[in-house]
Amino acid sequence: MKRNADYTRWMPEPRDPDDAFPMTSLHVRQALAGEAESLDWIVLRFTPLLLAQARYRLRGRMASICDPEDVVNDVWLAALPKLHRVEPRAGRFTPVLLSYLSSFVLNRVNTLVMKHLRDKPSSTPSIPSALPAQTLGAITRAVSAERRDAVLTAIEELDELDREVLVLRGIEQRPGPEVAERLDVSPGALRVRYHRALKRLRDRLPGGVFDELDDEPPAPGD
Amino acid sequence: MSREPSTDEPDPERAAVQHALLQRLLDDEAAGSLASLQQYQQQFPGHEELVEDVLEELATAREGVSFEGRGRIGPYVLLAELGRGGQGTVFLARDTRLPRRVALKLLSGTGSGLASRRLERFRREAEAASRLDHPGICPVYEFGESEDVLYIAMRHVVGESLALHIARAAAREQASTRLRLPTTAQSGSDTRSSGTRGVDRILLLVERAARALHVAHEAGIVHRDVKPGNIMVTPEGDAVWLDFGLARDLEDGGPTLTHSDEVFGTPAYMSPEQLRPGERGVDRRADIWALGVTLFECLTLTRPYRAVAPVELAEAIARGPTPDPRERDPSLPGDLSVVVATALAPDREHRYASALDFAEDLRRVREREPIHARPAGPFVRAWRWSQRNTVVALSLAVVLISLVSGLVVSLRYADRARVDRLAAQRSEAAAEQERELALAEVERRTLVNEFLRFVLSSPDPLVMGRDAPLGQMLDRAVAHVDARFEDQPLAHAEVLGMLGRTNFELGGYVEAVELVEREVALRRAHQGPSPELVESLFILGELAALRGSLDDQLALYEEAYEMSAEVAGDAAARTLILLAELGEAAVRTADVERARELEAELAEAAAQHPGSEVRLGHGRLRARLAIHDARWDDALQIYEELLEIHEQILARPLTDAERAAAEWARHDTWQGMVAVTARNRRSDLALELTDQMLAFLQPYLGAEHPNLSVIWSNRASVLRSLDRLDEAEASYRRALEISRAAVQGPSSTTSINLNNLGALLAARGRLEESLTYLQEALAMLRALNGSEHPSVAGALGNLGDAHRARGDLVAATEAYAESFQILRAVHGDDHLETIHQAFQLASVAASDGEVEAAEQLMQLYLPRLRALSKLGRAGVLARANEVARELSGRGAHAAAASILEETNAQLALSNPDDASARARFGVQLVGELERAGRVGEATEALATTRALLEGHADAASEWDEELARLQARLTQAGAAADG
Repeated sequence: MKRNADYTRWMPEPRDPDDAFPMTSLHVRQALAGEAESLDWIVLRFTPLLLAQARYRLRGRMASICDPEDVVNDVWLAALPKLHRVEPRAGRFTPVLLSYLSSFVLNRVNTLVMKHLRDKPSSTPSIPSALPAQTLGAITRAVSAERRDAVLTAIEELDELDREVLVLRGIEQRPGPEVAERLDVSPGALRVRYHRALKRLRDRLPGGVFDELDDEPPAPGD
Repeated sequence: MSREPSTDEPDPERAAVQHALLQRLLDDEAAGSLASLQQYQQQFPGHEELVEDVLEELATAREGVSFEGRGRIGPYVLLAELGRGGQGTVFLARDTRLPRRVALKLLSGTGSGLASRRLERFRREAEAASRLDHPGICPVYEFGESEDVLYIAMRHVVGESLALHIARAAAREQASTRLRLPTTAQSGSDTRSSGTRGVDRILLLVERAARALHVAHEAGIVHRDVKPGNIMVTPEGDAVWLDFGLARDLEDGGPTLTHSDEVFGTPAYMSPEQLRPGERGVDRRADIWALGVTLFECLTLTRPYRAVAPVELAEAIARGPTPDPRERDPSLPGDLSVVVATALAPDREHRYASALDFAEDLRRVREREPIHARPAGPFVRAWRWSQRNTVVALSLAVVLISLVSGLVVSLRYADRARVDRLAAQRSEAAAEQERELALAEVERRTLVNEFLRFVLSSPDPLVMGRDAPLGQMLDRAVAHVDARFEDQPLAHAEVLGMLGRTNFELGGYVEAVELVEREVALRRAHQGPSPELVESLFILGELAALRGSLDDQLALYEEAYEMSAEVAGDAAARTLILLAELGEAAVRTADVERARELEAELAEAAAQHPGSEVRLGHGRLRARLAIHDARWDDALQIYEELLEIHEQILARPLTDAERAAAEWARHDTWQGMVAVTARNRRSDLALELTDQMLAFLQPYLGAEHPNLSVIWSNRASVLRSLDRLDEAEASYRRALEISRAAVQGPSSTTSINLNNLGALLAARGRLEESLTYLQEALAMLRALNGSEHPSVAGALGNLGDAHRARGDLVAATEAYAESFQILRAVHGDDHLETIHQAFQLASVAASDGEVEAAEQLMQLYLPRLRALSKLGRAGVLARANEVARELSGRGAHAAAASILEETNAQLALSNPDDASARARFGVQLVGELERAGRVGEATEALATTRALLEGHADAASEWDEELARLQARLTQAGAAADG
């Protein structure tokens, strides 16, 4: 009697075709090949995370210095033409892309604050752009209110410490021990907090960009 | 130097620190409590330069920091406090008259309250330093007074004090911690390496400090406060003296400022005569003592004497003995004990008479010359001379030429009379050294030459004459080499190496390994790190790879690279080429991440390096990575760039040996191109290249040389792609025959040849025979590379094909599945090979009736193909179409049609001009849509297919009949639907 092979042993975990996890890598590759629609997709996808980061970084006395939306807008103008520098890690682009973009955000914030401290005129240097008009439009749409609300609102509704963990660990991709030390919590407590925050966000917005953030499940004993 | 953060170059760590600093500054400014530069630097340890950059940048637009309530002193705006010393506070300041920043030393309260002694001392420092003009002495610009504040404006020396360097090094916990100084600018043409570069940097720094100090001494000024805290180390590694605040002008006839019970200087660095209060006549030798202490501290990170209080210190010095730095660190050069002891001689009459003498002896230690403080024995002189001047030593010796080229050894420089003549032209001491070494070299070369004469001759002309095979001569040489060189380890090593390399070139890998391993052992024991040992390690690595030990190859290449960096320098051409080889070896062991890191490192260096060989090595590594990523078009472009470099090299005037090496390198590039072009279906070009290589190399190497196995294998692959299967099989068999003969047992080349031949036999329907080869290949690859290596995945794929052809779908599925899992783990899901294997699996699943599994795989992987390299995509798409065919055969028409729609769309993107292929795809889609009952869409697809054939007469004629048949069916189906 012919025995069929057991296909369940090796079949990859089924993924919803709408799940963006593999699509980011796809779109980045296509964006590198010059497909404008993929550039737009990337901008729309990641802008809410970068906005959340910019808001976090521009808190306290820095809040009055510049607008987070302006920061994110400038970052896209600067980062997108250099997207070819991003190399995937283990086949995935998302963590590398987040790390790359979030460091642009931090850099831009620093530049603007430095200029403020030097008592320079309030106008910030414009960043020349080599992006197509369509993409510039996509950036404007992504940064403006109507596109980003659901994701940003979900992040804003986290408590302050969870938000901080999400920005530092998930968006800026900083190592767990470094973040734990900065926030003065134990590494185990950080893992628990991060995992719970991510779960909350994923449940709130299934199939969204939060699925692409690397989770770090709590270890036994956390 | 200020660096404004740029949106162009994000550095995450720097940005994060800068952000935290800016937050702190904002808060402190709001609270009205801005701190000093040093305080902020302490708050951000390890980022002192960044803190200074930021504060300097901010301060240029603001009022200066406060000094007793003032932001401005005379023409200077205070920017940041740099430090405080016994004489006053030092600020970074901006000169409002000139575009420069200065270090401004301030002394306040110069009214009636200030002791005139302090004032006079301050004035004296300025006058003393202003007379000195040397790059190693911080120049004084001006001395002035403004509203009760005295100031000295000096050059702002960017860098850190030597004291800070020492403190930082001492704070590290590693046992082997040594002071690490910035790379010093080498003077003149001194590009020699040193066995202990860290010690040499220390010696060079102190030597430069001593030379600058000598200038001050010659100007009649004694520093009297020589210590690491007064030596600034610039980012370039230069030493600059600061703070002549206690300087004594020896020419000043006026009263000295030293009171009878005052002791000036820093006690730990004071000479015995300074420690004695009331001592008159402290001269330059006190500075030399202090510099000796500084040197000791740099070398050992501890001071020579532990006592702190002056009295205790004086007693410890008097008690003796003078501490030896080599007791703390035995690896230091022997002469340093003498140098330090001389500098720290309690009796200044026994100390160096001048800082220049001290500097010169430091130079001699660094350059392995005999120091003046102690005469060296003849052995030591000769050893040092060879260390110092290896190239010159070799130029006096005989040059041995490879046995393969058959040139006769020359004994030109063995002429002792000539040696004596040469020596007579130099100074007596140098001549003596050269004569000793040259004679030793001559003796060594003579032994080697005699041995070679023996090897090339024979007592029995009937056995070995002029036509005796070279291999037999080599065997004879190997049989006698040990006895001939029993007491001459380096000559022994040299001959073993020659014999090993010759065996290697002739394909005698087993013999070569043994000989080179013995050479390496001798060199390790008697020579240490050297260019020769680097090359031998590299050859051992190559041999390891040929025998399939990729991990061993990687380890040997690592060692060779690190040693080359040590002996020749990080930026040397050979080192960079080894870095490229290391990267390729990393790819072969599937450590691709490491390979990418090495490529990035090499990219930076290669861009600066003018040598074409370095660019070739870098290009080969880039190509290797592109092939790994299945970026065939990138790989091809890189190879084409490399060919241009080869042409440039071959166009130069080259010796025969150089030309042979250059041709060989070009053939390596050709081999790479063959692999890529074969995948690209540019088979005609690939076949031409392989035939050129065979024609070039066979006469040179002989028909059985193992290197030819790869070329035969490549040729076979190309012939297969041209459907010339008989020729392809013959080529594969030839390749296998050669590789099996070269290495008995498992080898990478043999496993590849087994794999390829087995796959071809399976395609030709000789299934049982194919299984034999494929299973042997798989076992060999698992043994050589481990079960998770991509090569194992390839072999499993072929085995799956063979099982499938035999009808054993279960075995085929198992093989495909295992291959698929390996490829997913190694390459991820977005790689051409993974996707191809997914399609293979889907195909056999569909054949096996597992329609859902097949559909699922296609849904997961077909879309991923869109973003990948266009080169090679057409073949994988054809495989997807086969899956569609299988699904259609199982009645899953909707799924099949969906697949075909996608493959058609992708083919249109990647191969828009391949009308024939597009028509083939289009016809399949039309048929499937019709079977799925989607007549309207089928009709549209048919029209699209007809349209793309317009202007392509050949392709159109190929498909006209089929398209007409489909048209007729669709018309009938449409009419039936209307009816």
